[in-house]
Amino acid sequence: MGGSPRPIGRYLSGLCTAGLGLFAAGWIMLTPMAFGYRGRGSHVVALTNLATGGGLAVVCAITLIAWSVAWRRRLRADGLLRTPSPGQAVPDPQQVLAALAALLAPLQVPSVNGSAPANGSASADGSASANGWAAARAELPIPYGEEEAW
Amino acid sequence: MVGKIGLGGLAVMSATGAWLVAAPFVTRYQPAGAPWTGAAGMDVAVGTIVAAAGLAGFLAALAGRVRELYAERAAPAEPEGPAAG
Repeated sequence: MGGSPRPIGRYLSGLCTAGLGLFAAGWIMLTPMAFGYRGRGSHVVALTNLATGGGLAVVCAITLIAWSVAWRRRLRADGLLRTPSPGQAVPDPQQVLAALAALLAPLQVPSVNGSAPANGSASADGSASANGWAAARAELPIPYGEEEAW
Repeated sequence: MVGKIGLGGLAVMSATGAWLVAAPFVTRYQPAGAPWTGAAGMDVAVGTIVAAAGLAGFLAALAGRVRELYAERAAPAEPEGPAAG
């Protein structure tokens, strides 16, 4: 009885019933042409079926959309569908560069003339690592000005 | 609000089925006592199906909503059970 906390049978029954109503509406609208009703009152039959089928189709389409929207809202509320947030798409470039520099700092990037600093001297005060990072940054095709303008 | 529109749509669908059943006699293209025409039989059959499906869908959706209300009412009471006992 208390199996799933959010039963979906409500939404499914609404969607299936509205879909069945749409099919029935199309069938009602088509029957005067499909069976070629003749005789007394055939004009009334065609008019009644067209009006009723058209109205039923509109009502069922609105019902279908309403149940779809209600189900999507329920899925979003349960966390199964992700809600898009426009402000979260682009991260701050300065923060990304700072985090990247912090990650690359222990790698001891070689200097411009190709002579890598010694490990012992680099780990002593960290100046060799900083010098290597500055040299590697100078080799980048992006100058500092453009980088600041991100 | 959207759920109410959906429920109302199902109720209107059921009423439309009832209208389809009654339409041959209301609009007089099926006179009382006369042999049944194909159009009248088709309308009554389709109207019965639409009315029954609409009523069943309406009741199922309503029952689901009532079950959700019971579940939402019972959910906050669960953590209080072990704490009280």
